[in-house]
Amino acid sequence: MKELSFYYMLRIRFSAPVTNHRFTVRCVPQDNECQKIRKQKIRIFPRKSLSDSRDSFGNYCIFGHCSDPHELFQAEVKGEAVTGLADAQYAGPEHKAGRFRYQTDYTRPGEKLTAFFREFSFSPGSTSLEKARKMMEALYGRFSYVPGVTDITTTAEEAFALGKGVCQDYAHIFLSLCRMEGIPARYVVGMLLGEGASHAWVEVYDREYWYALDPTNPWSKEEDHIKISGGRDYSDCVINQGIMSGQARQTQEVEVCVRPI
Amino acid sequence: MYDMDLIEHRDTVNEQLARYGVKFGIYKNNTFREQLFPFDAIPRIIEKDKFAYLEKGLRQRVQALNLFLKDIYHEKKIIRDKVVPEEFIYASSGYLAQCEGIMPSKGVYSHISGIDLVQGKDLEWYVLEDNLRVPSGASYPMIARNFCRRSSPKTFREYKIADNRDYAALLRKTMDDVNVGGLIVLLTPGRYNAAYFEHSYLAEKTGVQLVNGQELTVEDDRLYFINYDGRKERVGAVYRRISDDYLDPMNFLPESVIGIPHIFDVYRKGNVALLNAPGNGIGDDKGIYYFVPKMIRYYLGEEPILKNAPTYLPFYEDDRRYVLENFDRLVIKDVAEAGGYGVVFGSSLSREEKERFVELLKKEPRRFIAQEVIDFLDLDIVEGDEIVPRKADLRAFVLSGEDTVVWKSGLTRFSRNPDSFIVNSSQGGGFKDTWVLSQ
Repeated sequence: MKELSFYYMLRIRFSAPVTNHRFTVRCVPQDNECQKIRKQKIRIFPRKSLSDSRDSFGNYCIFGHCSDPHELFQAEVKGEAVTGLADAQYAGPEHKAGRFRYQTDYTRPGEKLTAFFREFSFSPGSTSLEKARKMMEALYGRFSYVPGVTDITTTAEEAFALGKGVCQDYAHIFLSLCRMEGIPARYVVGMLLGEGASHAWVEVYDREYWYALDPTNPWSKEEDHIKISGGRDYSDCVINQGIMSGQARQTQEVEVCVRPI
Repeated sequence: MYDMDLIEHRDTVNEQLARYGVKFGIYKNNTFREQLFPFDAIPRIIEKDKFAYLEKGLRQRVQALNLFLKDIYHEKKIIRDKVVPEEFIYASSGYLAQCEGIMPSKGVYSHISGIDLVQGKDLEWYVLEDNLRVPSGASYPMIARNFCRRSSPKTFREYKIADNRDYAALLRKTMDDVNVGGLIVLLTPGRYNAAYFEHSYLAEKTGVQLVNGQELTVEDDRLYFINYDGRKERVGAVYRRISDDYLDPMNFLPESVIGIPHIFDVYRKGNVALLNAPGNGIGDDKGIYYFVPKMIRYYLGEEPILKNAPTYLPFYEDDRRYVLENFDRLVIKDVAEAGGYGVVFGSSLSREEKERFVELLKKEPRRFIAQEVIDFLDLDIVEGDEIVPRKADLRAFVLSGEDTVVWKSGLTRFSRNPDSFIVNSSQGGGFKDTWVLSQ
């Protein structure tokens, strides 16, 4: 168990005023069996006409609409998280996790990833979690953390062929491997102790539970992570979606800070 | 043998149809062309008791499909009980994860279902396809009947034919049944859509507001219609004639400009009814078609009344062997394609093409279904001065609100090419009225 304080901020500046702006943000951590959130404060600007809901993955979403001209959009969340309360989250019977067993456009393997997957053999009786760990560690040895060579549209196959990328790429490749092995696995967005940006990792299904595994830091502790959202891949967990009218360039800043209390 | 009075008026009816803009838009080689939907004056006639049998079978089928959709997006019992293999659901593009856990108004998913049937030479009816997303076509026999009655009133005094102009009332009742409170609108992508005539016609006949995406807006978890004077009126039900992908750029394709941002979130909260429900593509998936008779037994505990065309799934080893051995007699369909595209007759392939296809089939067995070619009962059409037989199908319309009812008519489409089995209007076929006798 650990107590962490966190701060998440997303700011978009528009070079000229935009109007009729509609947005959905998913940046608010929620309670689950592994983490409890307290003293949470959320600030959204512009703050007009806001509502909230959960999407079909259970992620907390804030919707908004601002028709007046504005040049700034900002979402800020701060609070405290008690983490490491359990080893895993309850997932239910396997037929309900099935939708996380199939490849998506981001995770569908090509030649290179398929060949990599063929290198694995598992001793009989290995659990899904054991198999996943083995693949994660092998991936770590094969892939280097290099920012700036991939972007948000890079697929698992493309990143693997490059041999380098960031946490999103690690997570997509790892998802692809798990799914090739028939293990349901989901993409997770959140915050990591000591990291200045949002982070991505994976949850693997094993006998009715979801276990968090972080392929970018295979030996990190689960309790250093604060989960924000989950889905089949990056596209289900996009932190900010917006549609607006106007001719403006956007510059985006993200600030994340997680500290022990 | 035919009602000559009616046949003599064929040109008059076609002229009327043209004048009313009864057209079908077609995209071919990247260009949009509108063409008339040719009407043939010889009706398809279905006797009262024969139709009663179809009606029973269609209601049963649509009830099971609605239960299936509800199950897939909630409990998933049919997967748990291994009646449908999981991958036919989750690897299908028709399954929309965004729809998980959403309960539509009254628990109805497929409000307007278009079930495509053919009659074999053995006089048996076979279901070829279920259309549970945005099935179109009801307006054509409605308006054609109207013109026929005017040009040949005598015919309609002599024959006892169920009046099919009640479709508007049935459709309106379905929309009223699921309306959560407010206006009912028909959402069209606009006049360049293949079925724009139908959108405007059905809106007029049901008395609902015809709107495009720009006229709807989401505010505080509710959907509003923006009136001509800027006033906003709450919308309680949307008969949407745009596909799931384009419905809401915040939840589906972000580049959609014809959709309404956040409409799906309003729907999720139960603040608007969408007809048909998003996510229905999993119910009319060509791979899922194979399982519909199993669904009827599973959910209703009844034997299916209507038959499927004999279908094989190469996914199952026994079926795969059968398909490879009988390749030349079968028709193979790619489950991802629609509208008569992606249909291959085994016998039409050259040896090389066949080898390539068989390789693909072995590599991706889940992608295909194979069916026996049904020996259709041809229907007569008038071609010039002659009466000639052509392949035809029947799209029956089943409406589900508080009850499930079958419209006593349907769209009979025929292929104009004597050698073609494909009758889809998007491939340039014509249509007939469908008479259901009332005595």
